[in-house]
Amino acid sequence: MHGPSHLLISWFVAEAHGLDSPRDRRIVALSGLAPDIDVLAYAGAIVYYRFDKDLAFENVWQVVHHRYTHGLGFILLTGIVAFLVAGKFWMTENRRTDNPNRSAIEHASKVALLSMLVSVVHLFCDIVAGGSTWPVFPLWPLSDSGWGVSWSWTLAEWPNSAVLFGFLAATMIYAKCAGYSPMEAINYRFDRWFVTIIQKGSDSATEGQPQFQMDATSVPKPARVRMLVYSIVVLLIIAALAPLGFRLDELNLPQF
Amino acid sequence: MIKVPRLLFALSMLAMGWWVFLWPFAVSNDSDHAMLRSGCIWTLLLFFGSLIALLSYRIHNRKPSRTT
Repeated sequence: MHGPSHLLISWFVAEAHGLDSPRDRRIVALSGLAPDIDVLAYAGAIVYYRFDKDLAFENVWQVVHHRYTHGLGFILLTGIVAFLVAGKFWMTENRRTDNPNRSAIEHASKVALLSMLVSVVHLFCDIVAGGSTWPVFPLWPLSDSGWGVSWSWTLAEWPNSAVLFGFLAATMIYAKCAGYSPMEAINYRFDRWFVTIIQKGSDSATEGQPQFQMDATSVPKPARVRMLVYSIVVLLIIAALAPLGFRLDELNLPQF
Repeated sequence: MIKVPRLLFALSMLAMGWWVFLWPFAVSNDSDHAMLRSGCIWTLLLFFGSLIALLSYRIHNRKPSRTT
């Protein structure tokens, strides 16, 4: 499954289980994405092999991907880190707000448990939708046995795209309804900006700033930003299709 | 009312644990591929369904003051 899908699913799990603090939701969301941290090994290998992607793929990516970070050991590590981070933040806030409603241990345990649960969800999603060539190693380091299924959806197949776009749509709907969104897992200010745009429209994002002087040739600032965003999207689509020679049949779109 | 989606969510998590940690090492059998596939997809649907129900409940009962 795509990285952003893991992040969004994990944030929604945290939200659904009543974590009121944005910080806690961020901890759980990043925990759900954490098993994919092994991509850093690939990035390091590309540099190590002097930008020879084939060598880096063969010697590192094929060996490490889904092996050391997609198993029991990493799930437990995620839980411990989440417990320590959530506990530390809770103690700090408790001291500041003098709100001793719940003990730090009880609160941190809930965040840690959710963090481990979303890690299991990550493993399950990678078995079902990670591609048949990438088995996971769920019992590592206790066992080095891989586990994958032949019918697993590859990243390019439509169910993966449907999940990703479904959760992106859910992000916008949730921002509209609740006033906050999974974007807070990336940056709190970005989340505020995103929610403002979703709730009030892009023109409101520039409210309070000096207004642009309109004349016959000038374009309002929000329209310029929109044009810039649309141009980037078009360029990204071209960048994705160019290696395929613009052949849509290679995108594995559903047949009707 | 919230207990039902919570229960279904817990059930989906148990099923995920089963498919990820127990099935391949305790039960796996080549003749069970069809069952494995339908089981995994139903687990995924149960997970998404209960998650949507929990989020809907959360939206309708959320505290108005909390934001980032």
